[in-house]
Amino acid sequence: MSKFSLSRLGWNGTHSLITALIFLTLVIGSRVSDRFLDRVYLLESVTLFAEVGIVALVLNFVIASGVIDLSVGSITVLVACLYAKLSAAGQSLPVCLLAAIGAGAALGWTNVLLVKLLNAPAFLVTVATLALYRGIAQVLMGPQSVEIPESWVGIDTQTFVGLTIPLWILFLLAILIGLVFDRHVFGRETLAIGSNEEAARNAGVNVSRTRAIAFVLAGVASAVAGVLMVSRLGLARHEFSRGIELDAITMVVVGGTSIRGGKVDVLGTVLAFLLISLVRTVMGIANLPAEYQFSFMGLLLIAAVAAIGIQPRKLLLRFRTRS
Amino acid sequence: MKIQSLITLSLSAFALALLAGCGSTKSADNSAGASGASPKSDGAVKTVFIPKSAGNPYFSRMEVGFDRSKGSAGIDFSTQAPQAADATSQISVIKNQVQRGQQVLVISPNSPDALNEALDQAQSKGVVVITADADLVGNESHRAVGVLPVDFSTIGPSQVELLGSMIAYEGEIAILSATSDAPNQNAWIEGMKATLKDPKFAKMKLVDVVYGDDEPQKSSTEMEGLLVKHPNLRGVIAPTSVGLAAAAQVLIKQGNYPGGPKASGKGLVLTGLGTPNELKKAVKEGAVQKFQLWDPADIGDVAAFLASQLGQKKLELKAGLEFEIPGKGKFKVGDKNVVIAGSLVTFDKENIDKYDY
Amino acid sequence: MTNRLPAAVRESIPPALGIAICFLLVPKLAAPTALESIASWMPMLWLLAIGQLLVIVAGAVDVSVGSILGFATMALGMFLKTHPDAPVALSFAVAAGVGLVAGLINGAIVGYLKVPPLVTTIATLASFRGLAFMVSGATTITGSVVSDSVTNLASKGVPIGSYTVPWILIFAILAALAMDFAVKSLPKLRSVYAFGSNAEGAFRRGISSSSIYLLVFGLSGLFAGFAAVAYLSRFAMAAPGSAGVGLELSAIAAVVIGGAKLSGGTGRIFPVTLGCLFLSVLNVSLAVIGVGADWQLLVFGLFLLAALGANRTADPSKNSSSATGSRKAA
Repeated sequence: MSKFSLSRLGWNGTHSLITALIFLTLVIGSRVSDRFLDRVYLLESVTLFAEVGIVALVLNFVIASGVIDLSVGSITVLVACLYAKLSAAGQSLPVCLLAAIGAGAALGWTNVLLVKLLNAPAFLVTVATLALYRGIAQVLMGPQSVEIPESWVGIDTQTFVGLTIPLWILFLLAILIGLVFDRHVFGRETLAIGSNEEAARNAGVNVSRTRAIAFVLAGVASAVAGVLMVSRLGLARHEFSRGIELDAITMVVVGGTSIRGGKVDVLGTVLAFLLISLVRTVMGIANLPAEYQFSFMGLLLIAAVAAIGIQPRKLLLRFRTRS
Repeated sequence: MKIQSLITLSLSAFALALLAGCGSTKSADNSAGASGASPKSDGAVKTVFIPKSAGNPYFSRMEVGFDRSKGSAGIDFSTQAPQAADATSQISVIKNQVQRGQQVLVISPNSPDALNEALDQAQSKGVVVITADADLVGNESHRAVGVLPVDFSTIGPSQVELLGSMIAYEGEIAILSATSDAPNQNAWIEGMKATLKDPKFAKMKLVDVVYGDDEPQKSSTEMEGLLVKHPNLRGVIAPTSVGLAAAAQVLIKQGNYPGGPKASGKGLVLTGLGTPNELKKAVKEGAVQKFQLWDPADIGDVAAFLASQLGQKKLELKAGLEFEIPGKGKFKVGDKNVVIAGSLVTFDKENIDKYDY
Repeated sequence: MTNRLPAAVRESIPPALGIAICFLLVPKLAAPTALESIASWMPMLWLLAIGQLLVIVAGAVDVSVGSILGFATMALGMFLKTHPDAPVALSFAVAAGVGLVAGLINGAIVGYLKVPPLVTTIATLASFRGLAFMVSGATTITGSVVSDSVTNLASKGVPIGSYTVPWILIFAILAALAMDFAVKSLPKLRSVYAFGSNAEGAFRRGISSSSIYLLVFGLSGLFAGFAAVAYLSRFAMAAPGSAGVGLELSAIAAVVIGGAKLSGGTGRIFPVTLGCLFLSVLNVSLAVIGVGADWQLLVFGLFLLAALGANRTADPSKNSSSATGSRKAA
């Protein structure tokens, strides 16, 4: 019954499946190129995706509550631009960081206000703010790039006990978010809203406040991703991080969080982050033409979700027959 | 449930087979390529070309240059495009190619500065970085040498002169560009503005500069917007392939080019920079009389030669250095290690069929 | 459904208001060239939006239509390369066939594999884009390939006064009328509305979710195929990486501005048509006013928000804020 003890830790069939796929990816990678299994290279390559992974982790709150936020990529780039602008204006690092986090929270909060004010679905409001926030970044920056001080550059290459700083942030964040969903009333209320909004409301859950916090957290995570991105690239431009919202949603969904809300899988998101970044890396080092890379990621997403669609039900059945 | 799991399994199996299949054929290709190439030219320099995006005929033409020169230059050549023409999409390609053991990266950068860190890391591992077609304007220290198609300072004057000659140097003109932050485009537009100050062009008035983002939709709408905003417009310069082709299609539809079915007055003259294949139809219909470009294959030729020389450390780059490429002629390293690969060609009805790119 | 007329009128107010405001603010829009520019935007957007409408009525969403358009455009382009003399009907058939198959794949994944619509179409958004590259061998379709029979669809047509109504616009008008008739009279399409407003109730009455999804996604793909013909006829060129990119958002926006709800069950062709017209007018307005390139995205975002607000003012009924666009998936 080793499986039983693993499932006490939250381990489930989805995790086994993704882990198996990760190993398979590593095996294929090593067959494709004898230079693939290189610790530094793998670390650097996975770190490239850490920003998306961080956004994905926090997006779990929004998605678990049954809505979606498509503006995260635009928040990332707008915060990145603001952060670089402030640094260029001579502000100190703590001021810039605080301002970035504040801006991310404010933009997330703006989404909340707009959803409330327009009484429109979050999907549509965030499609609009996807354009709006990036539009603001474009007006703010024009064709220019803004550099940050040399000493702020390169957080992605600094390692601590074998991992790069962005990966540490990602893993610690995962533990924190896992705990919130497991232990904290906010996590439980988020899931309750996602599985049945009316029932949650009747049970006394403050639906709008809980969702508002989820959006603000997504904004903050996007801000963190923006700061990390600027540090990785050394500068900010308005056209950065285009389309990362789709990558982030892919990680969340492949990881086993239900896009319809009510079910979250934080560990799954982390594993999906590893899987997707490794698959991308293998495709890259295999010199797979760009067009195949597109199609393959799409197939992977469908296969993963279809597979996950089967898993929990099977487990549920098994659980029910036992008890 | 059974059907569902079957479909899922087969989908995953197919996905994995695709990956594994491509992987193994690719690696087979590589080993064959390596073992096949090494007897012919010992120590061929492993060179990869990273274009701005996949599926762009302009870069395919550059590859033609690499392919025809790789034997004489002695490079083991491959191409790997990023998934999208994003500023940062080339970063992972650079990392992967360095890991593959490429000795020289030839890159058409999508951004003048977003690749700085990635290129520095590549260079610190001993990889030679060559920019081709576009340069890292203002960030030239992040590459060894830049190969540009023509002397960019000549583009503004020759485009204005070309348009002027077709509209008797008189009337309102406008520019339809790509994006507002494309360094090449902006440099050329500055060149055009400077040229227009010449008394010769005193009667030509630049009334607007618009940006079509190199998308057919946006370029067409911006072109139509120009026609609405400036009813007296006489000429448009579109120094970008997609923009020029889209604008030409608008003129074909409107029929208001000189000699067109609905030309009001003398009609609207369109010119710019574009590849011959994309403009052949427009030229035959008369919507575009003359336009210009260089041969992108020239860039490939020169970059292939430099890749081989720099990869083998046979060439010490410095401003003013002259070198000869057998069969191509003499080239000179200019300021900021820029090498000019070719010159502008003007295409018209008479000569356009001679070009196939 | 009993107060169909008032609802159709009510839903038409926001887009009509938007169009009126644009024309008031930008008088130059009345110039013939500007009107032609607006008209040339319409067919592609309209066809995409009609397909999207039924998907949204079913309570789902299809974000892959831009990629389906790209895939069908490249497939049609490659077909024209080898068959330059193909009659125009055959061109339609090729693009529509490719679109239909792509749409049915979406429908099958949603219907049979039970993958939520948003996730499915995010995945096929990437996959179909990849197929656009593969079918074309990663080359672009240039003007010399696109035969006159196709470009004439956009440049020739029925003259009305000094203006020519292009064939492709006439095709879109007929397609819209046909769909309007079909959703009002065909039981199968009416059941999409029933399914969208109450999936479980529909299930109890014997409407299977998989057949609904096959139907709406198939139609969405089919119309994206038609839109591919509109694309190629207008631009006479196509690149695998750019053809149709982002058009899914315009199509969804047009449907929503036209009063359809992402939670499903409602949506009418006429207001959605006005929604398409509004977006076309907006796009042309931005170009005609000469809004700087840097400002256009911002202005577009603001207008979309304003349209959502107008929708809310025009619609007194409760609009639950919990719709994710995929909630209704069985």
